[in-house]
Amino acid sequence: MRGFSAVVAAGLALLALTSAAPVVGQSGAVVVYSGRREPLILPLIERFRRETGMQVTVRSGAIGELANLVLEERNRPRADVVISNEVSVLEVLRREGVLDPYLGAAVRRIPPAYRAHDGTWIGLSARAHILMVNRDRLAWSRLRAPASMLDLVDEQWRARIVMPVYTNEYIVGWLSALRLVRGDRWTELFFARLRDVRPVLVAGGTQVRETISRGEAAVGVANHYYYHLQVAEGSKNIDIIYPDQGPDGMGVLFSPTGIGIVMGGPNPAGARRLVDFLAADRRAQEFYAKSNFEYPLLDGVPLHPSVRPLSKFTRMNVSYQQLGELRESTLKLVREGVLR
Amino acid sequence: MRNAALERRAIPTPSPRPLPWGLLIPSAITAAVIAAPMVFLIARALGRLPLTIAVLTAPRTIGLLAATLALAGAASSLSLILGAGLAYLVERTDLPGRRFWRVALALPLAIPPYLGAIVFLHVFSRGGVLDRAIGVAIPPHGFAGAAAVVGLYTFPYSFLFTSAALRHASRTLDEVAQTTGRSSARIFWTVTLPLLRPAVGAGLFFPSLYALADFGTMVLLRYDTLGTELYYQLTAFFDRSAAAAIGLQAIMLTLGFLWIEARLRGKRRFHPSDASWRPPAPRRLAGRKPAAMLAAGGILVLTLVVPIALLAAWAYAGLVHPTDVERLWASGSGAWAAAIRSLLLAATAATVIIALAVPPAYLRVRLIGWPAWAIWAACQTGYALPGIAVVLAVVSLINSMAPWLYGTLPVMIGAFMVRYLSAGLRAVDSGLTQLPQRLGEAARGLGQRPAATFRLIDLPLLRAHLVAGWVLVFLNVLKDLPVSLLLRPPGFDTLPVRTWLSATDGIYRQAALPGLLLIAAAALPLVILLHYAAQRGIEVG
Repeated sequence: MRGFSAVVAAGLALLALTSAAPVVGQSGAVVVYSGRREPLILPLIERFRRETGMQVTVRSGAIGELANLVLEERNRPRADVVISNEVSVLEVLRREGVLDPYLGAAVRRIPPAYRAHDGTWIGLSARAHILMVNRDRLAWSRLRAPASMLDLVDEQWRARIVMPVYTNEYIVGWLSALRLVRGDRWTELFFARLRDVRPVLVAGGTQVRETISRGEAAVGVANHYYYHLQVAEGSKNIDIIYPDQGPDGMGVLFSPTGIGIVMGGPNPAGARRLVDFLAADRRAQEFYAKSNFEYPLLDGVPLHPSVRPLSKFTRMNVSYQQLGELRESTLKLVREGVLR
Repeated sequence: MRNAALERRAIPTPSPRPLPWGLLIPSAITAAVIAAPMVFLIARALGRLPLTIAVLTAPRTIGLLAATLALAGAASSLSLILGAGLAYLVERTDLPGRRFWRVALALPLAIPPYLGAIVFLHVFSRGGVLDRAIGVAIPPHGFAGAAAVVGLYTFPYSFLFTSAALRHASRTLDEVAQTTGRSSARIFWTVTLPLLRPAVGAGLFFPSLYALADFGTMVLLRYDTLGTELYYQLTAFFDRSAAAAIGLQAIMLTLGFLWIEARLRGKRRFHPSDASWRPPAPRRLAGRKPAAMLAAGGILVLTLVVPIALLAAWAYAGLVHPTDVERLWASGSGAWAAAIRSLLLAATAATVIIALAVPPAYLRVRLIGWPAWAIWAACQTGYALPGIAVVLAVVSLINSMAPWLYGTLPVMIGAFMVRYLSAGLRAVDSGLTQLPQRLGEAARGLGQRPAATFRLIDLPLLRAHLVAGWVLVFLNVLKDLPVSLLLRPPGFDTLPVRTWLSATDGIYRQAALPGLLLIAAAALPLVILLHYAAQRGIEVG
């Protein structure tokens, strides 16, 4: 059996090696589950590493997958911190009791509107949920840009809209907001009519902006920074629309990204330092504003000059807590709608 | 393989020996580990029958099923036409450089289709390489793009299977057919084609499996299939209730593909007798030679040279002249650590899987009876579970049985076992079948213990097959996206994961270095595998 045993032993040795080697992430490191795009968070993590000498391990992925993971690991948490690109996910995690409240002096500088009242999650940056259009494509089809999200169900947009898949966090959050503003029955009908015009469904905002810039759809539903990222990449034929403005408009859905400390995570001290840094360090907030064109949440941090200032548009009047409460029933609505 | 088993049954077995518990117990454990996720998934889907029926009869699901079938049909046809056509050119004509083409045309297997999709997007999209160079854009989105990418990056399967079949077919058969006065067209239909049927079946199967399960390619190329639906279900918060139903459908579809493959393979086997075997006479291409060279070269350029050149150019640009945005964003340094992780993971998984495949293979050779067959059948379930369905099955099983295991290395290895042990087992088994049993029995007769017999007699004779099986599993694990993406522990990003995250973030240039390293890491084992396959008649699938 020597040859065979040697093979097995080599396998076990490799297994041990892979478990121990630094390529796996170091023990004692702060473990971050991040649902944000990597370019928006890794440079800051790198800076945090350099300045504190602490190790950080990041697992990036879809926030839905990571939030499931946090819930499934609740008896043996392996993550210290979870970063979400969508606020209602954090609200659900808060209500599930898997987030540890933290209200250090630094994070109190974030306005109370953008953090959970009990300190379980803290906003990092905020985004507007907007429309972007391809000007050439509109001119070609002799169409006028829509002024309201509600116009999207119009027949003229058939197969000309691009948006993330319906189970995407942004879409679930947006439909929840519509339910709050317009009611359940109305939203259900709206969603049915929206599906009837057959939007092109893609994985996320990145794919929305690519599709719009190439003119493969006329109008896209995404967060505002995707427009600015696309312009930064050289697109000249796209416009951004802050929909539902004016005295009768319901306003634009405006919501934060956020960070929360996982209850019972292995490295609570490291987690707090990281939260302090990512939320309340001025340089972090400047990074969100400058590199990702987001709305910074810390007083005195300037907005990117090409982004529309907060005072220049109407926001939807919704509470993030309610968005979280509606999340599950909205998903049910989506699921049943899609099945029908 | 199945026929070989039947033949073996006919050989009178030596006098009954006591049950080999040393083989039975480990084999049974392996079989249970492999079959459990699928059994669990099916039980779950059937346990919520009303929901399952609602999901499966929903217009959207039916639409996805139709889209998947259409893609499987188109992609596998394209793949077969390219692969079999090139195999014919290389093996049966006087195309110059036969030895070069044999290896070169198999090399695109080192490039997973999702990498091909990234490259296609950048060459053919509006504003892409081609558009800027000559003002032509052929957006590779939707059905046509998906079929083209899957067909192009899976044609080496057909190429390898058909080449092998053509190489082993003797000229004698053709000549005998000619003496009966048949026309050459009729000889092709009645003699050559039946010989190629198994190769056609296998050549259609792999592209179909990619069409069904490769969510990476389809998400990038924006074509929705059952595979993308499973991916969206798995990454949606809370909403996994419909996933089991879709998973069940994916299993049934894969079984359908397997059934077609088995039908095409047929019951008949053709054994060229060694004594009369002569290489087939090559057809003269004469004036058509340049066109043939152009066709083979063109496909090679499209599937191998362009991807490598483009990725190399991006990687070079990213390393030497990073843009401001790239300087600001993360550097590409993570790719090297990911390469080490990928290699270690693939090596570990391959070692574990091949070691675990030995006992069931032996069991089947030694022991006739229902326990051996039950174990054998259970070990085959991996074929019926496409990658993303393995993840779904493992996730559901782990979540309800042992949630604390989620996202650990052993679970990753376990998922790879579920997916690839069947393939490893096939390689080991094909070696054992060729093993002269008398030798082992003689050793036992001389008083050697079974373990010593294995070490002294079987292992040296099996070595080539074990190595081939190891390399096969290694290669598949190296390229695997679903298991590493969705089951990896924090910090264990592999090359496919790095490539995928960069691509879905829209930073294609950062996908270049990990993509390039992945191709480099896959190319060497692929060449080794081809070498063994050519020598010993081992299947590469």
